[in-house]
Amino acid sequence: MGTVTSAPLDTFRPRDAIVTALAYASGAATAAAFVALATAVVALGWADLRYAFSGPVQLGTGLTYSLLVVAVALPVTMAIGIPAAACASEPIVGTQIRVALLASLRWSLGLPPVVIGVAAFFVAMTFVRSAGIGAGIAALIVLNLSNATARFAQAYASVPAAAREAAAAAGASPVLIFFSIVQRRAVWAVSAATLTIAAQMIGETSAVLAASGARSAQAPLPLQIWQYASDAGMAPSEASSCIVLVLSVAACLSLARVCRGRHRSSMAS
Amino acid sequence: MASPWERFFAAMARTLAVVVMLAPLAVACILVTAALAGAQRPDPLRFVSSLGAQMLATVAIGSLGAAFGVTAGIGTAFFTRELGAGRIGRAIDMAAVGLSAFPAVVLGWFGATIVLPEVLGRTSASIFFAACIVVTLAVLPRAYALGALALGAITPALREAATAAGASAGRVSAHVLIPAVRAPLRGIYADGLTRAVGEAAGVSIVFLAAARSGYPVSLFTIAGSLVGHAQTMQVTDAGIAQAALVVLLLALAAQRIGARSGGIQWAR
Repeated sequence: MGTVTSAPLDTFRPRDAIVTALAYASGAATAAAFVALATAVVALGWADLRYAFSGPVQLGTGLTYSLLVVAVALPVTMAIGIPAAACASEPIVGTQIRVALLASLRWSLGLPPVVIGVAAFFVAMTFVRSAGIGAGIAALIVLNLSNATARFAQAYASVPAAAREAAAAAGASPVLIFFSIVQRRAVWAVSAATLTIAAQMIGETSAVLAASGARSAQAPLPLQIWQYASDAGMAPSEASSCIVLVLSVAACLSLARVCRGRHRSSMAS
Repeated sequence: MASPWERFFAAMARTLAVVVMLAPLAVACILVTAALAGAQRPDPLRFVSSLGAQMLATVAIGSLGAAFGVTAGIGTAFFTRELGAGRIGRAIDMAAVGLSAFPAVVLGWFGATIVLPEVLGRTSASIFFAACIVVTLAVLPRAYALGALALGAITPALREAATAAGASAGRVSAHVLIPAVRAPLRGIYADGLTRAVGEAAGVSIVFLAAARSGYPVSLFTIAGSLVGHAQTMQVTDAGIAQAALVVLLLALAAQRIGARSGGIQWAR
């Protein structure tokens, strides 16, 4: 005669509890990190924000240089990235190169910025004998080429295939379809990608710093912050610069979010 | 027959695609050339021993930062997308998205000004801890975005079927969604490790601040020391090129692990 055993325990329950607790703890930790960062930057930097434009950090100069760097690097990145993205998203434009490009994008997106910066520095030292902001801009362009191409290709891929097929059935060529259908319908997604890349360029430090060095005050804002950030005595003026930098990046990211929303609603309609 | 302008555009697009493909290879080739033929060559014995110690610090800080940052990012994605509906979920989503607006240099300032002085004791461990926090904060927002994307890609029918069978949100997450996104999750961890080992600006600020404040700075990460040398580099230093190659290889190794475990969609 068999023995009576208790019903098997609910083995699911402990794992449910762990996952739920981890998710709640993660959410709380993320919120705490955001609040701590924002509070620290605002509490230390708000009072000095007015004076930071005339202080040793030269916030105004840094901001101007940051905008100058983005104004040069972003159009070049777009000019290369958009046609390359057309290759990645349109099989007839890309032909055999498309497969190689997609494979290359998969591994080249994770290149550390500092490595690209060091390479740009070596090229500048070899050919120009000095590294400056030009080397930093070149590093930014190389750093963002794969990223921009991948983002633009994703934007173009979000356009429904039916629109392309209808145009192709009406006899339109692949290039014409790309410009008159895909570009037009993906305009908000491309804007979102452009703004996200601009935000990345404004905040990028390692690549520009390694490529150009931070030898003078005539440097973009992140480089100026990096120069003085380790000096505890300058914490308030550094915090003011951080406020301006974070607001600049946040403005670009917020606009990108709005553009992404517009793209989604235009695709749904 | 395509017009000449259309043929020109297609040819230009293919040429620029080749430029995009070759740019990372050019970076690797420049570093290999500089490592072999650099003007300034370090003493091999001292260089290898110092690089070994730096590599240990890089891998340790990168692994811990990635482990904490990616876990917190994915956990937050589960919270906002699956468990914490309503206003709290939206507020935490805003916080996670807001974190992505803090560039690495600001995180480094935070680590040096707020975290480092608050850590008990003036030891190497305090610096290590502060650097780990900076890397964690740098990795978290991207892991959140990728985690939310992975969860968004799951077909709603899967959730509906589990809920219809009486499963709670926690049970759906633990027993339906995690198995469904296992491969992308492994990819996100590998992606986080790739970013963490290459994190330079924030970590270098913490190490420089510690050195200025009189902490016993015995270790530096490789990427941090590369940026730290930025102000003093004047020539093509073979040692710097070799160190940059090590960072590149570490990042590529982490990426390879991610690709083998299923990987993630590129671009985010």
